[in-house]
Amino acid sequence: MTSPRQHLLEQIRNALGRGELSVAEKERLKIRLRRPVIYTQPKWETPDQIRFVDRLRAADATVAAIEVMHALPEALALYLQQHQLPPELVIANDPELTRLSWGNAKIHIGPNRAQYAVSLTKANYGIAETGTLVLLSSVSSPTTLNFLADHHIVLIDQENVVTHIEDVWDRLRKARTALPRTMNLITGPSRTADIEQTIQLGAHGPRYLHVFLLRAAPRY
Amino acid sequence: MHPTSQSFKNNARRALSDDNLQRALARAKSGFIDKRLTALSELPEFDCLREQAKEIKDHTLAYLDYYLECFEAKVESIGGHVHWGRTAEEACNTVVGICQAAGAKLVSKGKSMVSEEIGLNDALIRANIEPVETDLGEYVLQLANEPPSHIIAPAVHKTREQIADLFEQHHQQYSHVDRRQSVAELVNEARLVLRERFLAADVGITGANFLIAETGSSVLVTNEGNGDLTCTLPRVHIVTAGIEKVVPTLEDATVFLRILGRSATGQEMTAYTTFNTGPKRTTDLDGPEQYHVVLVDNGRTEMLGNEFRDMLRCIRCGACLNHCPVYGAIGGHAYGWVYPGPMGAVLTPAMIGLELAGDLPNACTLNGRCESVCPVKIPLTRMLRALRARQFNQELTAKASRYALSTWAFFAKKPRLYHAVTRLAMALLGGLGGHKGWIRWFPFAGAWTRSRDFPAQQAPTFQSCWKTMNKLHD
Repeated sequence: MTSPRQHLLEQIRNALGRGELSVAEKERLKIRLRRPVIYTQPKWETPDQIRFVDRLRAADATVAAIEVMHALPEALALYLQQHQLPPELVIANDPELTRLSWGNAKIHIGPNRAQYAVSLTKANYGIAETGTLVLLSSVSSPTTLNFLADHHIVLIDQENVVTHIEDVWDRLRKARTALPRTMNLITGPSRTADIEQTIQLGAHGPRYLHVFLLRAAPRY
Repeated sequence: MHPTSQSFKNNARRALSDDNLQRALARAKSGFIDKRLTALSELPEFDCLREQAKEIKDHTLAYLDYYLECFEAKVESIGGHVHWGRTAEEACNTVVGICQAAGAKLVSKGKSMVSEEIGLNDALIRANIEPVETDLGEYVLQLANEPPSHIIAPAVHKTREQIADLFEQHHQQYSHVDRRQSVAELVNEARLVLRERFLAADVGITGANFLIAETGSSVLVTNEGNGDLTCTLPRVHIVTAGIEKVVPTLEDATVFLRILGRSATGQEMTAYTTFNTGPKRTTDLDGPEQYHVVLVDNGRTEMLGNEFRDMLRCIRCGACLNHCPVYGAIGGHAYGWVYPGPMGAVLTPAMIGLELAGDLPNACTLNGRCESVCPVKIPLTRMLRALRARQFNQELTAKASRYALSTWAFFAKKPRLYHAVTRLAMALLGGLGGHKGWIRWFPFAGAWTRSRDFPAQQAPTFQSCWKTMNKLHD
């Protein structure tokens, strides 16, 4: 008896009016997979850094700049104050974040199954084209931090803002052999238009997305 | 889901006199069309991308066996599992089997049209597993026990008051006793109720907008974040996807990301575009322990081999629905199955049989708006005509229409006789119209003239005009 897999593949070949591909044809397709073609990309006039911030804001995120890494705790404290939130947050186990002096703030580390109201993570890349943050899951970037808090705060180094979506693929191929379990492309807070086509932020994910753009390389 | 496409005419009649539905449709229509236009005006490259998207899909379909095998090999190399479902039943059994092996009682679900297509919720319930839809629109419909009426806005036919009624009725058990009025309050209440369900679920089931052969990833394009909670929190993640969802590389997928959001909701990029690649890694702190992809055929290989192959390019954006005058007048439920509007009028007969869905390809004026907005250039009108021809050849067309067409063909093949008869008919029609020029009622065509007037003949036939003109020029 043929397996469902074998049968389905045979049906595909029958529908295409051919048998299994020849070795030469497979080789040709393998090359197409290994050397991806970049198709038409959107163009714009404004500098990438400005476009990135503009697109983020257009997607209902808020953005603030910091000049040095150690300015982050104070800037974040101000954000919490403005939103009348207690100084408590869950942060990714990333040495760049954990070694900062957080003062009076109550800091939790790790994933966010406990659903703390505020989470802080670091984005691996930003995409100027669409104002998108790219977060790769890892021990220092658990995915629950990106979805279970009401306020998702993201730090991104300006140097990691790329022009087009494809620039991220290029960097990923150079940096690693496989994709992480999850790659989140985040463009604004959670939203729904399922009730009378009215856009409402905070459907199931964060109600707020706040981005700190680190202007210079970290200095301590 | 039990199809009611056979009673399309009754369904449509009921839809036209449903005031709530008509209000909801009027609101939705302009919203979708305007947002898409604004998004397109900011991307002059859009038409170029459409052509490239079409080429990528055509290429992938021509080598579908190869790319599916690549995808499978990649998924297995990172510890995931790929399953092959030839029929709806086989796909459902596979999913139920995985859930049972995991000892699952509660399953959270992201919005997935293929799961609607294969009737997955019913199969889970029969196996004593509770499915919870988590997309807000799908959740509303699960409470109302209704199918979706739009492929990207499933509850588009519901008014705010109807949703408030449903929440008031069903959320008492979660101690939400007050009736919510505003959109914000309703969304918040659903968020609170569903958050508990996300955290309690044993298995999460989502669809996929794309599968990537190069990386073994499944891609989810969403806005609410429910899809991400579904594939992050439970112990097991199952992806259900049609076999046509595969594309070769990340760059190929990018072309589709640029056209999908714009065509669907007018968004440059939706809030969440997620690439899931296998189960949780050893060092990961969260994510599912098992990752399964169930590839579904359910009629697709048949379409691959006939004149409906182009339909397999469809990326389920909903633009054809939003621009269809028939869908805009009657909504999605009248189509009687999972896929409504122009794409549904092609897919439904292909999947459940022409004899059960014969009215759908005829519920179209062939105006071609669907085709002109389709981001992957599917020739929808050509396929609808092909379905009509099939219907005629298989003698599925109503007797009255067949006789009328045969009679017409009899005369049309005899030009002299045809001209004589049309001259007579034109004179007769002119008389029926009186001096107002419109015919309000026809014998044997009462159903047609009930909602329309027919313009009466104003002048002699084209042939006789032509003759007169030629005589004048001689």
